[in-house]
Amino acid sequence: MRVGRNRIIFSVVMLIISLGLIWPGYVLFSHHSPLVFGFPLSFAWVILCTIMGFVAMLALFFSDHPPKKRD
Amino acid sequence: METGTTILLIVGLYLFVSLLTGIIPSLRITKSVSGFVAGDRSMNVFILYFVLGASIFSSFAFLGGPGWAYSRGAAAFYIMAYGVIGIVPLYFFGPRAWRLGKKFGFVTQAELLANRFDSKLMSVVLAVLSVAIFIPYLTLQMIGAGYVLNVISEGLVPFWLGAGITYLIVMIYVYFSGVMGVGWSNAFQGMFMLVMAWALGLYLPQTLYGGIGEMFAALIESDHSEMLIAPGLTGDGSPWSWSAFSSAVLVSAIGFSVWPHFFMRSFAAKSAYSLRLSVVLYPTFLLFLVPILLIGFSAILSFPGVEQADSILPHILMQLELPAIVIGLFCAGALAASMSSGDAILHSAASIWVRDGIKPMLTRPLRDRPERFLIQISVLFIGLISYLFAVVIDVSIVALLLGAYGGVAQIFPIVFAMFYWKRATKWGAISGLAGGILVNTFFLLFPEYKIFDLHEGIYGLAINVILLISVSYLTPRDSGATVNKFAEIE
Repeated sequence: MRVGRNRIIFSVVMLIISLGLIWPGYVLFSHHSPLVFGFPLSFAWVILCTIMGFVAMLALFFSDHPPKKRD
Repeated sequence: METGTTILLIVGLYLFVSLLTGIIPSLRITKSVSGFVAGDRSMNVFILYFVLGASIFSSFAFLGGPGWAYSRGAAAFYIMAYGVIGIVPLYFFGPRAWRLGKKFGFVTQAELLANRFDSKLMSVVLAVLSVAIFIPYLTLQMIGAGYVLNVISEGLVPFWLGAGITYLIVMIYVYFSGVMGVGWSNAFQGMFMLVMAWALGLYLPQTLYGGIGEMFAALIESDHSEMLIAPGLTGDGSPWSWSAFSSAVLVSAIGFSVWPHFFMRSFAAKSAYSLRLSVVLYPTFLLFLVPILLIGFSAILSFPGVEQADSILPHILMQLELPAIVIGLFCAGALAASMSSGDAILHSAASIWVRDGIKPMLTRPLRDRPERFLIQISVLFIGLISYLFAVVIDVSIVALLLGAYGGVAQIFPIVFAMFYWKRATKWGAISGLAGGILVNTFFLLFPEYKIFDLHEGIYGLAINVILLISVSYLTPRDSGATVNKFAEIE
């Protein structure tokens, strides 16, 4: 059951990230200003979504393959 | 030493190391088809990570990426956007494919699909589709290699010779080592490419503007500020619409995980765990596109008016008067991008052509050794055909490749149905695939008939899914044993 719940959470997160990278989500972050760490907002947002996607996949991976508990 | 000689020495050294890293694995794999096509299912996370990463980051990324940023601005973010969405399905499909492969001996995507839907026709259709896409893809990689060597050597190395030598080396190591040669050479080429991309991507904004922030601030202040507003510009310089951008991202993301050469790496993994971990780490490879795009952005104000946007990287390198050793290294980096995709495509095209195209048509079974030899011969044959296309290039090949993304995406619904929808039937899958490809190709050739400004792949996918579902319900269920074999594997 736990695995099923994690997969649902993962799917929702990935859906949000996906919508953030196309219309309509990306529209909110499509402008060049402000600069974020030197990058235009439109570029920084795509980088942020890529990192968030990576973190979401990493979290799902660890929930599917939990590291063995130490004795 | 003369500049040209230094550059050629470095490139020569790089090619020699590529050859070595590609040839050595041939000593370790078995002389079987499984050894050649799936590396005896022995790839670890390190190799898989670079194989998955490098087989997508091709000449298109290394030369086309900066070209897009230079000429189309924010439109170039599309290349990054689809990768992170597109890799996710492989997390779920990959381990299932791997387990089925290990249990039943599958080594290609079409073998899985043909087995589930009990259809040799599907296998042959997928083989023809794959090879039809791979040859122009490989041709473009060769053009990239020949072009870089020709420009950087200032014409010293003719185009045909540059492409010829580079791909002769690729053909040699793919011929002897199969997928493990691809794997090890990709690890070397991938690391090399990453270092070169980051070095240049950080160096150019720093040298030309004083930093990344300063570069973008200057762009925002200039007449080109609208280029940085998503979704950027189209190829002719007019604003790209949100519907066209979003549908292009979606189609590329949907097709991404089912590219036949990409998907079949699932079978080469050492374990389902290694495969999953490589897939999870994949987005870190995507970040490599950040410096690639920075290269293109850095040229907008500093090197305006370059007509052929794809040539912007070699153009910058030649203008900056960098030391010969640095130019040589970047030249080798561009070759690494070309070769790391080219070798994977060449290997897959030959494997798929024999396993999925020729073998199902034979009346007698093919023994392992002759089959492996046939695949090796196909490596040489397909390499040669692509080379002939590369030296007598015309524009239509580029158009053909761009159309391929929509075509490949049509494989996704049937791969999904294979694992997750028991009611999908042979004729549902065949009609969905055929309908999707036909509609995609129709709108690619006649875009004026599109009702909405969407990527042609979306129209193909809509018809594909409708046919898959409706025809499946109208035809009798497929054999329960086969269906369960696929649906119940975890």
